[in-house]
Parts: sequence; structure tokens; C-alpha cells
Amino acid sequence: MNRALWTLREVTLPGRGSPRLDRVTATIPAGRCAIAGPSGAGKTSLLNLLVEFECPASGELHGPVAEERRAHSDRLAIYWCPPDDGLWSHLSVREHLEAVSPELPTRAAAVADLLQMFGLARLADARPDSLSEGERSRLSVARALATGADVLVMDEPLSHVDRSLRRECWSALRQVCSERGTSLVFSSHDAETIQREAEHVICLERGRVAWSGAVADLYAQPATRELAELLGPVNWFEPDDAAAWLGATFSVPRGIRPEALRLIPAPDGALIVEDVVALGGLAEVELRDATGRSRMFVHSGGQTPLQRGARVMLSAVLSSLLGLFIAGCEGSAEGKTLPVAGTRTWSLPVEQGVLPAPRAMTFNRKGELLVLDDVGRIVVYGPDGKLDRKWWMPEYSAGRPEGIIELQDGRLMIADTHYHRVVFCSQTGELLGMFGEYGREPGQFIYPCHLTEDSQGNIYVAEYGGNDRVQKYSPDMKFILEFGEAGTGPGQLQRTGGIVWHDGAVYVCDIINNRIQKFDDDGQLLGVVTSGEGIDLEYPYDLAIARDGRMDIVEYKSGRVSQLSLDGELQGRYGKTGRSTGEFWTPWGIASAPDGRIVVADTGNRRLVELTP
Amino acid sequence: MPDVAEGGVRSVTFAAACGWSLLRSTIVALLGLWGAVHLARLAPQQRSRMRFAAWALILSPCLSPGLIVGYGYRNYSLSLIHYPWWNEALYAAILIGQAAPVGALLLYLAPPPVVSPSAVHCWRMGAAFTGQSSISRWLGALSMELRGPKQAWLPAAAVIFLIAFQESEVAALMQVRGWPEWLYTRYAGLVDLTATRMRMLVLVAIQALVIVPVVAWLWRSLATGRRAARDSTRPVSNGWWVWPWVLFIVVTVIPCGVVLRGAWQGLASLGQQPSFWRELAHGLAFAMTSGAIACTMAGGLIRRIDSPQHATIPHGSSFVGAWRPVLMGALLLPGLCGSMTLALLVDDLFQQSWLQWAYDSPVRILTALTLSLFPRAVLVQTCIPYNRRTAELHAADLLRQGTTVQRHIARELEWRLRGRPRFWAYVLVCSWGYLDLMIATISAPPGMEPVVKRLYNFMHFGHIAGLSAMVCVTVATPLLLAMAFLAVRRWRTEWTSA
Amino acid sequence: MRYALLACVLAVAGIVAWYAVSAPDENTLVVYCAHDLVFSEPILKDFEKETGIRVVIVGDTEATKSLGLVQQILREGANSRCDVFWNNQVLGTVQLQRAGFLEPYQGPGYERIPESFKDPDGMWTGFAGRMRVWIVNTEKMPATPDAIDAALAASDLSPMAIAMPMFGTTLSHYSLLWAQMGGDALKVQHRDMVERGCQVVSGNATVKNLVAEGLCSFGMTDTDDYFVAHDAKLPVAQLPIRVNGQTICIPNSVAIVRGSDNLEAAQKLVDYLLSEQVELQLSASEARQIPLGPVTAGELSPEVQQLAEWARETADMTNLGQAQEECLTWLKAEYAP
Repeated sequence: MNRALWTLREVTLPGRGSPRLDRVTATIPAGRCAIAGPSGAGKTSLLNLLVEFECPASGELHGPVAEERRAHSDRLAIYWCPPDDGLWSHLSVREHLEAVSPELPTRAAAVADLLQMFGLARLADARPDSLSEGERSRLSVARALATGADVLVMDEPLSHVDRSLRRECWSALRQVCSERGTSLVFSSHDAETIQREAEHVICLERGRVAWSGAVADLYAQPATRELAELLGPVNWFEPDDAAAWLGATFSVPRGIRPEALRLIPAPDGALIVEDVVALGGLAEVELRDATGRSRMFVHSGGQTPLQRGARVMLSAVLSSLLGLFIAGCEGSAEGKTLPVAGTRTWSLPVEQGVLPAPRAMTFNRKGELLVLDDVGRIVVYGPDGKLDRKWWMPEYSAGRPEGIIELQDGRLMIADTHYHRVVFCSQTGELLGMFGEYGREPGQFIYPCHLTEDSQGNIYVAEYGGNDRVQKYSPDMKFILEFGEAGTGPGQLQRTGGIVWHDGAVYVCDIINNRIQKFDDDGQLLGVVTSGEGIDLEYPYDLAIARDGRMDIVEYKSGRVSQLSLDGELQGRYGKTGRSTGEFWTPWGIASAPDGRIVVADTGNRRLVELTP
Repeated sequence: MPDVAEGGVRSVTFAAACGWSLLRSTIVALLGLWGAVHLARLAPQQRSRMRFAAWALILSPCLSPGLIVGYGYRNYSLSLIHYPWWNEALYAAILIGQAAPVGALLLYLAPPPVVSPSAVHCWRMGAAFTGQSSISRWLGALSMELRGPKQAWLPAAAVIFLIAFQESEVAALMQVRGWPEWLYTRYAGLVDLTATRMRMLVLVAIQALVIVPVVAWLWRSLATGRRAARDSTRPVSNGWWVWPWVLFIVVTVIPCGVVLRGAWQGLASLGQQPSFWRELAHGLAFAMTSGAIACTMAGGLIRRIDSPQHATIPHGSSFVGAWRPVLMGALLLPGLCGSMTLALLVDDLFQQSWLQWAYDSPVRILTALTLSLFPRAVLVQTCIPYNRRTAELHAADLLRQGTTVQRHIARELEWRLRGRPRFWAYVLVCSWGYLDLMIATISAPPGMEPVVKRLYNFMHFGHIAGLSAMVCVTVATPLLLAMAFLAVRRWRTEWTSA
Repeated sequence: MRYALLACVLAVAGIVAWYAVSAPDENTLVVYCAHDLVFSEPILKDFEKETGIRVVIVGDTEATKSLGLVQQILREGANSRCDVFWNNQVLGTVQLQRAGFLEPYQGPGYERIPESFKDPDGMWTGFAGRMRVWIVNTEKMPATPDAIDAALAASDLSPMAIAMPMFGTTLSHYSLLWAQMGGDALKVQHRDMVERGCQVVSGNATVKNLVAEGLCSFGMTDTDDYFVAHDAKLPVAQLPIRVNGQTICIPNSVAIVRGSDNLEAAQKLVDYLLSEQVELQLSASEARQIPLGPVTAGELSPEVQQLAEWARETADMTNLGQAQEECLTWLKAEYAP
């Protein structure tokens, strides 16, 4: 997570009848943060607090910005675009920008640029009362930029501006903020704007924080339908619905985005198309099942429009682990219990008042444990377990990496998931190179998540994001081959997780399909390792293979570690869902130390747990 | 007015005098409201640069001191001695001329209605098909209108009514009937304060009833903090501009012309009247002090009720919070008694043993003036939109944390948005205190009499030679002081920014 | 907000401090003066210069004429800070005397004034009188007693104007009528006049204005008001009002208020006001006030000499306290029941 600009603890703001903000605890990070929520959720109230237009009735609101005000009086710390634009009726458009410009010498040029960027040049001498709502919105945003403030707080900026001009204005805003390193906190109803412009989102519902985190995470894993719909259309399935419409078993309610839902024409399909409404790139389709029930679905449309009366099948590509509902999940250590002589638990170092959560780990040849956390750091513990060093990813505002390995040449290779690339660095964090870009072609990535290296130095990169596959590269990163595709069949993958090469085989966590698949060096499927009876993995997120050939798998849903032999025989299990000792909560990563210890990244509990067999 | 005593003497009971004042004030309120509705639409139709001048023209009659207006028309009023009804009509016309602009200002500054004009139109479109009787439809339409675009009409009419009802200076000079004249007559001989208090209660009760919609408007105006969207669907014909000009000439130009003729020649003699200058200083000091206290109290009251964007009541509202409008109304009531009555009651208060020590001090006159000015200070300060915490003000305030240039701009914006309107509001409130005759006469400590008393005596005894110059200097001095303050401020700002 | 509060506190402190410096102290005389300050102020300032005794003047105003300084002293009671009361007539001073508010003093000034114009016990002394007169618009009617009588007898009295008899010299006039005619007769007379259209206006100056402007033909007023119109060269003339053959001369009166902290200075002022010098000064003013004590012959203008002759025929205006109370009670019930 980026550094915190504001920290709110139990902040309440009274309202008529019910409070506008009700014991809100949240952290507003630096970067681009959106405040989302339905009307009346408390977005404006929250932003008013940040700019001290209102004061909380109770609770604590700490703004590091306030400290900066005292320290850096040569630059305005914070500025505001209020919902009613807050324009000064006696000043013209140009005068608004001139009035707030920080420095006189460069003012004229800066003002002219802003007028041009926001399409206000021809209105430079007009007064606010002669402007339209859209023009006033643009002026309000331009004025905020003209201040040169470190942080801009904008309440539904550019909401009155027409779509095409709004995109241009947002682009200008983004560009200027990026050039200056200005953080932006804004509220919006518009899903597209939030997705395009924000890195972090705080969702409010009836004055409370319903969710806080990366936009991509909210898009991929919304906990509720309401949260899902904040970022666009979603097909929401309760477990019964999933069985009836998808023929799938969902243990928890889940949302499937339009791009992940397929309507496949099938003469013997059980579903009949009742109505189709084209919505540009999407289509709303009403389907009727055999019992006469009908329901609306939103999908990506596709090239072949559906006709009324056509028979179809529904298929969902669950590569993004949507709508996982973990609470109350009763994962348990059934069957054999893995004997553990001792456990050690510790937390990652705190970063600016925030306790990070571990995500992925690996041991290097020195026996050091390298941990990726959810604020964007690489934290290294020595063989003695003491913190040795840490450094930051080159970029982390869009999202954090999910996989790390040490290459044979001693370099570290990190799957920089949300930047669609892999990053090479030294053991001390010196950046050595990057590879990859967004795309589906060879050499491109959607969400690369895990890595492994074979004995030849070839690198295997597992990715998800609708393009679930593994790509193989030579040591100099020349593309060799790819295997796997999104799906549930043999050799197909749904949400790839951990990947390990061992003794000529590549073992891949096929998370949604609840299995570990084994491929050869050429990508041919050798089998499903975990097909044995009684194994029943529940979202195997990561795996590690120890020197003695035992396979340790950490299960996200059931909160346990399962140990198998390489041919799939269950050796034992440890842990269950929970917050206490011996329990895990949505663990993401696992690593095996050379001496046989197992370290689990207990992500949900924000701790590392070392198991000594 | 009913004759009560025997023979031809036109005796008037207090009830009848109040009734006469009520009737006159009601007529003035109705006609004044009609004028105010049109005046309120005139100025906003002008381009922004002309708008200030337009408002200055419209408001000039209500800013003309009653003393000057009354004296200006005194002789003409005398000429109507054989036509008392014409005299009454002239007085009512002057009242309308002075009060209607206040109503216009209030209509202009009214908060947005609960029911928008489009909502009213929707109701009308559907009303014909609801099957209601025509009376029900009419009542429904009235209810919609009073909650909607005409929601400020009632408080505007109430303010016009109050101005007309309380007015006593012009009434005395023009010798029209009403409760002030009754009270002056009744006070011959020793003033019976017990009877006075009872009668004052009646007057205050009448005004309290009328002030309820005004307080409600004030409360809502302060709570919503937003200006109304102008009703741009019904512009007013430019022919209506005749009326502000007529009122300006009738209520401002003519009386000033009468009073100020010969001012230039009389100026030289003022140098030989040190007591005039001393009394001028007294008047300024009392007015500025009581005006400052009244404006500070009014500002504090407004800030207590202030809510930035939402008309919220604190979560788990307290007893005080729920009774805020009532408390506000109670604080305003002393100022409704009228200057003479208020001065007498304050006088009585300071004769109590525990306050006797302050009887001879300026505290008495300051108390009376402050209470008298407080309701007007609240009204005037409510008309300043930036007395509330608005986004525009906060956007300016945020610049205080920035560079030197931005901090300078923040100060200038603060002055332009809030400081300067408050300054002129203060000047206006002070001017009312400055020219209050009754309180000056009854409550001034010995040796510290304000100049207005001297002016009035000159007017009454007809010493025109020195009067014009005195009036000129008296009226001009506060304005010159205000201009001097602004000039010094501007010079200091320019020097600082250089 | 805090700056505003600070400003208020400083302003109040400043005024109180200023008052503390300028407030009357034991060496200051507080004079309540009902006479027109245009005439009285120069006299009091001269006294200040001559004696070095600081004088603080509390004036009266027509706006509160009904309240007046007499009522103010009565309201203030024992705490009144008035040292010397200079009234522009007698009856109010008599009212104070009856209420026990006055301090007797019979100094050289008192000795100078004839008996008919002063209290025998020295509670107050009259000086510088003015007459009750008919003011006539000479363009409307002749200024003769017969013409007045004829006008009074007419069925339409709308050309006549009088001041509201509840205040000032008109009250004194009516008190005299009450004493001489009896209350019942006066009531009948007054009601009859009003019924026939007589204009009852706010004050003597208004009567003067109405007659001078020709809106009324004649009316009752005082000589000082008459001379304002006369000096403005308006077509007016005056005749003395006679009650049972006597004129009505209403003097100014001066008295020391009981409880004065500066008795000696107050006595000096009283003697000063009752001096020939002051009476001559007042007679020479635009008000043409009539000296009541002996003055040097030839010092008076012809107009004042004429007034002085009329003054010699005046009725006794000093003994009308009871009549005033009864008359005022009737008038209050009449006009403000």
C-alpha cells in the first residue's frame, strides 16, 4: 500500500436521523484513490472531512498532510474541488487560475496551458455565472491543478461534462498529476472513471466503509453484489443460481463479469434466449430455463448476435476468483494431521502505521526468506529469522507483485502482476531489468502471478486474467512455448497459482479447478496430481516442493497446508480457517526452507507462520 | 378611528391606536410585497457590472434616514392639515417606499424553496384530472406556491409589516395616528412604567406573531446555506424601472434637497461649535461600539446555526438544539419594542439597586442601542451569503496553507467574499444606531449626548441656517470614515504585495 | 470571531475610560436645560469661562417632549445627577417642587426677580419670560382682537390651530384656564372648538408653520415661535392672548435639585442666570425673551419693550400646580384613554 495521506479511526459525522459517517475507520493512501458508493453513502461527507470543511463529531482523523503543511509551506498541501464547484463569482475564468497560482513568474504560461487543456481558452474572460455546469466543472478542476497542491480532493469532478470532453479532461488531469507527483482523492459514481483513474478505492455504504483496497481486487473479488456493481455490470450468482444456470457448484455467492460469461449457441442447450439488448460492447440477454424461470445476464456480446428463441449454454470462466466468500468456511484438517514440532509466528515490519500482509515467498540459496508483501516491498529475513533488509518495487501504486524466485544466476525474478511484466533485480534490490507488457500474445502478460525455473535456466511464467496459461522463456527471455488455456478440462486452467518445476515436470496450481496439474517441459499434460481420493483441495493457491520430494500446498479457502507426495498421496494436513494459532486465513503463499521448515504466508491474518516438522 | 369621548374630541384608545397601526401596516405590507416581488426581479436581470448600481438605486430609499425623510416632508404634510386622509396616504407611500426595497432584498436572498417551480408546474398539470373540487384545487395550488417559489413572500411581507409598524420618527414629524403617537400622548406627566410594560407586552406580542415567519425564514436561510436559483422563467418588464427611480426621487432626493439646501454656506460656522464635534464623536463612538457588539452577537448566532451543506440537526439533538429557533426569536424580541420603549425599559432596569452604579455610565446607552440593533444586525448579516461556511470561502481559505503569493490571495479573497460585505453590514448597522433619536435622548449619560439630538432640535425649531451643514457633516462623517478605512486597507495591501 | 470580540471589549473599555475622564465629577455642574440649546448653550459656556466651573448640559428634545426633563428627574428620583434645572416654563418646576425635589436658594438673583415670578420659599425663580400670543396670518385676516373674536365665534374653526394642550406652554395656558374657568367649562369650550374643526397639532412651532404658510388663519403659540416666522418675513402678526383681561407671561425657571453634590457652584449658576446680563442676552436673542427683573432702560429692542408691557399684565402662572394635575388628567383621558 502507498503511504497514508489520511488515517481515520471511528470517525462519525452526524446527520439528519442517521449519521452521515458512522464510525468510519479507513486509510487514504497516496496515489489515486476513489471514494465510491451509492448516493447518500457519505462520499461528500468523507471528502469534506479530509479538507476540513467539516469536523468529525467523534473519532480521530489524522492527516500527515497537516504535518506537511507545516514543513513545506512553499507548496500548498491540499486543495479541493467541491461538489458545487466553489467558484468565486467576481473573478473571470482566467482570474480564477491566476489567483491560485503559486508563483508569479511562471503564472501566465501555466494558466494558458490549463485553459487550453480544459477547453476554457475561449471563455477566459467570462464570469462563473455565465458558464454552463460543465464549464464550471472544468474550471473548478483547472483551478485545483493551478494551485500546484500536493494532494487534490475532488468531489465528483467533471460530472457535468459530456463524455468525450470528460475523457480528455481526465486525461489532462492524470497527466498533470503524474508529472507533478500529485495525489488525487476523488469521489465518483462512474465505474469506468474509477477503473481508469483510480488505483485504490474505498467503498462506502450508508456511512460505513464496506470495502477498501485496490480497484483491480474489487473488480475481481467483490464480496457483495452491491460492491461489484460499483465497478460495472456483474452477473451475480447465489449458490442455487449457479447450479440452475451454470450447472456449477458454488459454495458461496459469486459475481461473474460480462467478459467472463460465455453464451454458447447449442442446439440442445437447456436455455432459450427470450430477449437481447445490445449495449455497445456488452449485451443484455434474457434467458429462460426449462422450468420457465427467466433471468437477465450481461455478457460481452461477441461477434455473433444471438437471436430470440435460440438455445444456448452458459459457461463461466472463473479465472479471477470472483466473489469468494470465506467467512464461515469450515476448512478443517480432516484426515491425517501433519505432525508439527513447533510453530513460530511473526509479522512483517510496519509501514507508516500500516501492518502489511505477506503474499508470496521464496528461500534463496543462502537460506534467506524473501517475502513479497501487499504494500509493495520485498522483505528479506536472514537464516536466523531476523529482518535483514527490505526494498520497494519500482512501482506499486497500481498493484503489488505475487510471485518471486531466485534464478540460478543469483538474480531475483518477480512477477509484477498488475504491471503485466516481470522484474529482475539483485539480492539487494537493485533493479536489473524488466520484461513484458500487457497483452495476450506470446511475450505479453495479463496478470503474471508465479514463476519457476528449470534446470536449464528456462523460466516458466504462470498467469491469469482470462488468459490462464503458462509461458516458457529461455534464460534470455526469448519466448519458447505456452501451454494451458482458460477452462476446466484437462490441461486447462482456471486462475493459475503457484508453479514449481521439479525433476522434469512443471506442477501448476489450478486454483478454481481445485487441482494441481503436472506438465512436462514441452507443456504436455502429464496428469492431475491431486486426483486421488480424499484429497479435495480447496483453492490451492501455492505450492512448494522440498528437497525430499514432498509437496506442500497451501489452500486459500480451507486455510490449511496439505502435504502430498509427488504422486499425489496425501501425507497430512495442518491447520484450518481461523485467526488463532494453528489456523490460517486466506493464505496466499508457502515456501520450503532447505532444512525442511515450511513457511506459510498467512495473508488474511497478516503474519508469517513457520512450521517445524 | 372611532371617537370615544364626548363632543368632538377625537380620542383614541390604545387598542384603537394599535388597530390603526395594524391596519396601515397590513396595507403597506400587501402593497409593499407586490412592489418587492417586481423589484427583486429587476436587478438580477442586469449584467453583472450594472447589478451593483441597480441594487444601490433600489435600496437607496430604505437607507435614507427617517429623520431626514420626515423632516423633508414635514411642511408638505402640514399643508395637508385639512386633508388628513391624504396625509395618511402620503405617509403610507413613504413607508412603502422605504420598506418595499427591504422586502425585495429578502426575496432575492431567500433560500431555495422546498418545492421547485417545476414541481409546482407538475402539480398543476395533474391537478385538473384528480377529481378534486375547485376549492380544493385552489387551496392545493396555494399550498404548493407557499412552499414553492413564493415561500419567501410571507417573511418578506412580515418584514415590511414590521418596518411599517415600528416606524415612529417619520410618523411623529408627519403627525399621523398610531400607537407611537398614542404613547407620546400618554406619557405626558409621569410615566407609569407598570402600565407601560403591559402595553409594551401587547406591542411585542403583535410583532412576535408576525416575526414567526421571519424567524423561520432566517432559520432556514442559515441552515441551507445555498442561494436560490433565480426564477428566470418570468422576467420583469424594464418599464418597472420607473418605480425605483420614483422612489429614489421621492424618498431620498426630495427630502435631502429640502434638508441640505444651504449646506455649503453653513459649513464655515461649524468650526465655531466645538460641542457639535464633541457630540458627533459621542454619536460615532456609541454607534460603532454597539454596532460592533450587535454584529458580533449576530455573527455568533449565525455561526451556531450554521451547517455547511446539509440542514442537519446534530445526531441525538439536545433540548437546546431543538429549541434553537425559539431561542433566536426570544433574543430578537427586545429590539422589536421600538426605540423609545426599549430605552425606557432599559432606563428602568438600570435604576434597580444592583445596576444603579452603571446608570450614569455609557453602559446604559450601549445596552439600549445594542438590543435595538441586534435584530437588524441578524437580518443584515443573514443577507451576507458568505457569513455561512460555503465551499467558495473554504476554497479560498485552503490557499492560506500555500506559498506567499497564495496566502496573499487567500487574504484578498476572504476580504472580498466575507470581510467587505461584513464591513458594509457593520457600517449599515452602525448608521442605524448613529441616528437613533429616542435612545440618544433617553439613555445618553450626561455630557456625552450624541449629535442626533442636536439635529432634531434644530429641525424642530427650524434653525435652518446651521442645520443643513450639520446634517451634511453628520451623515457624511461615517461614510468618510468607512471610505478612509477602505483606502488605508487598500494602500496597505498594495504596499504589502509590492 | 475572537477578533470581533476583542474589538468589542476594547471599544467598550475605550468608551468607559473616556467617560471616566469626561464624566461629571464633584467640580462639574450638571444642568438639565429645557430651553432651546441654541440660546442657552452660549450662556452656560460663558458662565463656564467666567467662573471656571465646568458645566455639562443635558438638553431636551421635541421628540420626547412628553417625557421631558421634568419626567426624567422624577424618574431618576433620589439618584438624579442633575444639579440645576433650567426649565423653559414654570409648571414643571412647580411639579418638582411639590414632589420635594428642589433645594431652596434665595441669593442675589432671587432678590432681583419680582414676587409674581418666583416661589416665596426660594425653591425656584422665574426669568426671561415669553408670552402666549395669537399668531395671525395677515393675508387671511386682520390682526385685531375683534377679528380674533369673530373668528372664534365662527361655526367653522378649521382655520384655527392650537398645539396639543397636554404639553409645554399650552398646558400651562390650559392650566390657567382650568383654574380660572373651572374644569367643566374648559372641557366644554375645548370640545366645542374641536368639534367646530379646530386643528390640534403637535406643537407651537407647528402652529406657527401652519399660520405662516397660510394653511390656517390664526392660532395660539408663543412669542419665540412667532418671531421665527416674523424674522423669516412671513405675513404674520401677533396679539397677546388674554384670559379675563390678563396676559399670559410664562417665564423660564431655574431651581437647584435637592441632593446636588456641588451646591455652591449651583448657587453661582442660579445667580448668574438670574442676572440682568443674562436676561438682556436672552432678550437680544432671536427668541426675544422678556426680562422680568429690572434692566437698564434703552437696552431693550422695541419688540421686547412691547412684550414687556404685555408681561406686566400677566396672570399669576406660579400657583397652578393643582390645576395642572387635574387638567392633565382630563386631557389624558380625553386623548389617550
